[in-house]
Amino acid sequence: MKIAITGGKGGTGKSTISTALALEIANYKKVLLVDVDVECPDDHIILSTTREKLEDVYALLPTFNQEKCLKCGRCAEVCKENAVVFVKDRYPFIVSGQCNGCGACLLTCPSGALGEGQQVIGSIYQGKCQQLHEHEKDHLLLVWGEIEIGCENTSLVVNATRKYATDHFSDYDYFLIDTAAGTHCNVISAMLDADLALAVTEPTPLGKHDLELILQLLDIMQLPAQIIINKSDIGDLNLIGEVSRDKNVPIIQKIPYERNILKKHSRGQPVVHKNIEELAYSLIGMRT
Amino acid sequence: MKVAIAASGDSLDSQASPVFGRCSHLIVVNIENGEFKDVKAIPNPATVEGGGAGIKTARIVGDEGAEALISGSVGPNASEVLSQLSIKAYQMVPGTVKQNLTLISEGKLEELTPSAPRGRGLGMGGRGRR
Repeated sequence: MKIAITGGKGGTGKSTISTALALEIANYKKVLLVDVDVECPDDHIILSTTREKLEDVYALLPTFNQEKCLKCGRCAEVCKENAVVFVKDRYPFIVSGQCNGCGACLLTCPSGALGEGQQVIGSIYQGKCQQLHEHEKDHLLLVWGEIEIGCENTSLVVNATRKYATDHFSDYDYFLIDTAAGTHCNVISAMLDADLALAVTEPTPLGKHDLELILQLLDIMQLPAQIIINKSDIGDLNLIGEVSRDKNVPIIQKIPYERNILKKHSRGQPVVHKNIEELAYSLIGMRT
Repeated sequence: MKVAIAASGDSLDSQASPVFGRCSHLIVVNIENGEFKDVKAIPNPATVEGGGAGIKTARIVGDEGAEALISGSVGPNASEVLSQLSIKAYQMVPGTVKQNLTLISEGKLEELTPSAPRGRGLGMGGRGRR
């Protein structure tokens, strides 16, 4: 079963809840936590895991063979990113950091002067949780993607990370997929083969607004959704209640704003709370 | 010497532009014995680019066959293109195009260093999450 943890708004507690939930479920089932917030993957800090690189993620980067080049400039004409530079009577060249690997220049080159090279745009890592007892360590593994700073192709790294997890760790009972904030392509990529999405929100006007956006996205993706309200005892619960009714998406758990949770959070440690324990039980179908 | 300058308008009396990739015009001039010949004002098509504006503008400078560029700043990508094309960039001083051209003809402008750390396009084109 693959459960995506998302929510639209940033800072609602996606990573806090993902890590806490992973630890709870790991008491009973094998859990793979997949952190695909590739621009700032933080779950490894919260869980204090080891850090082992699994593989690099590559994107296409054209190579230029000057012997075959006709200096026609078509490669630069078709480049929407302006990454290929052509000045009349000179050989074209590429500004690699600007290239998004679309390959249009390769298709358009009339003389076969362009080849398929590649550049590293990110990496996939795995980490074992250090604090767990020896017999529990096999029950929880974190896999995460990290993108090169400044690179825009987030969804390529997200997809590569998700695919790696699916191909190599199919023996895990539960995949928890911790997505980035927002509703953009890297969040979509993160949830592509999920069975259920948990939208983590907070009872504020901003939480409400962004929750509506993510629920619209989940509706388009035809992905079953459930709402978790974090910081539930501050703000106005009615805001989220309205969205829940309007969109017909159930609120399955509320997590209060408590000193103990904040203490753990501020120390970068996983949170333990009975409501998250309950949530874990309900997700794996156990009675409390 | 053929010189291109990033400008905020289309004449020698226009202000020199503090930005390069999205300057409104490039003015290209042939400087011979302190005289400005063959003045050409090119509206910059890169102002409306989503990304890579600096690269595209630098390419125009190359297309015009300029040996030197005057601008307030040059981003890392444009800087890479200029150096590939062996075009030297000079730091503009606030003032008109004409004032800057006079200064460069007297050898009084300083060479420009890239305005941002080298990387993946950190220009004004908006590197929003996609």
